[in-house]
Amino acid sequence: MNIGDRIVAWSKDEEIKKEGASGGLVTSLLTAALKGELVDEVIALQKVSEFEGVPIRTSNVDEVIKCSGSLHAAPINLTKFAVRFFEAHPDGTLALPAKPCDARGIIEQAKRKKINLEKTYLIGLNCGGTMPPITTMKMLEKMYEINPDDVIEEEIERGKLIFKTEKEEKAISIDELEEAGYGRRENCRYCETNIPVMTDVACGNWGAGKNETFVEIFTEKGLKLMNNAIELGLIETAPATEKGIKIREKTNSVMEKVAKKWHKKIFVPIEDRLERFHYYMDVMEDCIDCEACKYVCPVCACDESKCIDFYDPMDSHKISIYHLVRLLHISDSCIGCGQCTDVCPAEIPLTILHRRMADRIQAKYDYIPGMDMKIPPSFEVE
Amino acid sequence: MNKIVCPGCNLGCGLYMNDVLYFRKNAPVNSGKLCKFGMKLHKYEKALPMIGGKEEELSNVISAASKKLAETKDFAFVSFGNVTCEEQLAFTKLASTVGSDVYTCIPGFVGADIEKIRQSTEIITFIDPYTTYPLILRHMLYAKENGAKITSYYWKKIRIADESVILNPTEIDKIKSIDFGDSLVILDLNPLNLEFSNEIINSCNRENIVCLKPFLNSTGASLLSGGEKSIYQILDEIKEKKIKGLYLLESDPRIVPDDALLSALDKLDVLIVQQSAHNSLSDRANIVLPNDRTFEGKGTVLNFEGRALETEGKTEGIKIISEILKSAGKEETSYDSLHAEVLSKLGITEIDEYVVPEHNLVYKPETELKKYEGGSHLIYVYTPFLWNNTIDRDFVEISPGLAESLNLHKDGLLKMTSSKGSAAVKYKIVEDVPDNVVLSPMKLPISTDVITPIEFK
Repeated sequence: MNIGDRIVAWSKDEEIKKEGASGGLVTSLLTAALKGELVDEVIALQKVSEFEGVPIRTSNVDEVIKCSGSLHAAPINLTKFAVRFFEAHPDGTLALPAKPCDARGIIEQAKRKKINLEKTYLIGLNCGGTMPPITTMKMLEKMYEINPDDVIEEEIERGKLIFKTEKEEKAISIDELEEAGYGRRENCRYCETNIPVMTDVACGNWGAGKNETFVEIFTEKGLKLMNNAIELGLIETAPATEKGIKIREKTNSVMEKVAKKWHKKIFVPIEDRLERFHYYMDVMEDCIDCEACKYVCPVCACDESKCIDFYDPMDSHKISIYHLVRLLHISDSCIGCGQCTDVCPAEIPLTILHRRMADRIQAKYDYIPGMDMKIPPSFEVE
Repeated sequence: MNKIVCPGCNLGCGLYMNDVLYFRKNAPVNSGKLCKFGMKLHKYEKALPMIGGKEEELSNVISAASKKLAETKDFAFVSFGNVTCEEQLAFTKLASTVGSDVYTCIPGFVGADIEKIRQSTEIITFIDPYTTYPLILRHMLYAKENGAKITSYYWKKIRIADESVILNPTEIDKIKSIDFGDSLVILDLNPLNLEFSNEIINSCNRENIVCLKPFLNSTGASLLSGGEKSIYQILDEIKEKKIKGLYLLESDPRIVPDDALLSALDKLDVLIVQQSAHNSLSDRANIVLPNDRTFEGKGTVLNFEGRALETEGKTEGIKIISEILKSAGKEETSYDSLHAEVLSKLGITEIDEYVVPEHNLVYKPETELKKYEGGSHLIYVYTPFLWNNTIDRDFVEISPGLAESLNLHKDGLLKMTSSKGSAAVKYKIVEDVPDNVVLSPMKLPISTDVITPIEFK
């Protein structure tokens, strides 16, 4: 096995294979990383229900196994959990599953020395998007006529969102759901990074057979993760088929096209400067100063924050300085993960606001954050 | 991580908590979103067991509390509802052992649920949703986006409202002539504004009222404890020596705007305080019992809609009350038996946070709307979070007209005088506040009530 290889793989443990997604490879890679002492701890998402997952940090293999399975309606970014690991264990080693937005956040934090990337094993997860849980529960009742409590499994396959209960399986196209106001989170719709090529190894079901994971190995660490799991007898592998590779390429290309279409639809340019000013002012005036958007932002790395220090609730500004500072400060590092919008109690479309700013800045400097260790423009000193 | 309910108010926002906080995006009321208070939950200073201001072993403090309860006649028990239903029920049982009742200081009432806001076409609001109950804002925004007309009756312009009717203490009777029709009404029911909320509740269809309350489990507390006295009545009765002992469970009488009323506490033979946070009330108490922080314990909470929610902390919050009962030779109580009794009283067999059960809490109005003379007024625009002493807003809000007439300049101070003395405070200029009104999010020492007549000097 070599860097650059594309293979299919699956767990040899029957329980993990059954409970985990696509043959349970990711769970087995994580458990192998602990068993083989590649890492001290693992971050994983513990399933509470199909609509709720809680991130845990653990060195207990059994706990990792309990985290098997994918949760598309639990949109969590794990970056800050990785930051906290390195705050507690500066010399520790860590493994975690990473959607593209997790991985991009982690790389931006690594540039700011909050995460040691050399000691972090990133098991990438191909991602077609995640869904907001409460809206998804409503969608199940209205569009699928399924009681959310009855759902035992959900899956995204060939552009369709599938929900399974003990009695039935229903699939509706994501396009139809999103036209009706359901489906994926808004930022996921226009996200063009579906395969986390910045991780050590990317895993997904595109191009894989039943109970298999399609795997791409990108780094030495990725190779080490795979070999470790094979040596421990926890996984099996086979070469990817030509047909599988084509399906994977085609699916990715379709997803990118859909994302571009959504981007065009959502980011209608506001050419007039005054109109643009009023657009920002109007939505930001609802802010209630909770600072949740900063707390959850995977690329925010400030201990002493300029956005908070410069802000005074006594000011009579229509837009708080807090937001103005944040708009500028993360314009080169915003990855559009949508976490800020998710947690905003005033429903301010923060991700769109930040992306409107970031799209221009990042295009100007030809810089895409979170894709590699290339430093952001604001770090450059001439 | 513990799945808990935010103790900031009675909205019932769900979140996760251990040494850090995390957002619970499938929580039914808040979808994981939190206000500034919720965001700061993990920064509390814990109370310590104390007798006479000195730290003691918890077992000694429990024995001392038990002894005082047995010795002292005319004990009053107060729990606003900052504890779980199980703790509230245990407290009610404890009160009954000395022939007393638990006072919640808020009348029992359950109004409409959140879905009703989202489906409304006409909304009349009496709160500032940006500061008072911020997690209600998103539901109002949703309704507005779907075409609802929002009318606000408040002391200043409310941004979300299509029409803001600015209230003035001198014309407070204006609220008597509101035509509510089938409008959904959003109201704050708290111990300080009962005469105001009475007026509204009596004037409109009660099924159309979204009745927000300031304490974690205000609704559950009303259901489980029958005492019907206001905090003002209790303080008066202490002053008149009708109440000689007071046991406060996570309830701080310092919420009353006039600090002079609190001098009644000095007339008590014994003050027992059971609370999680250390503050000046615990300094004032004869006995301090350190409660688990609400988000550390497990139990049931009933939010403003009457929705039963579970807080899944590690500890059983009833431990101290149970120990006191045991120490007094009374029947012990267990969490499991209390929980079963709570479910039975709620008329449910299990908690489903996505279903709002039916409740029949009858509202019993008692007070009349107060009248205010002409002149200027200081209005204490309290929020539940300020009562929890976590948000610092050390300034008042005034109109541009008032700032102009007093020739105030940036970074200056506003000087006010009431019958209790003078104060000079920082100010912020906001839109459409009457020129004779000063809005204060903090309690000022010159306050005599929620609305205090003042002069500018």
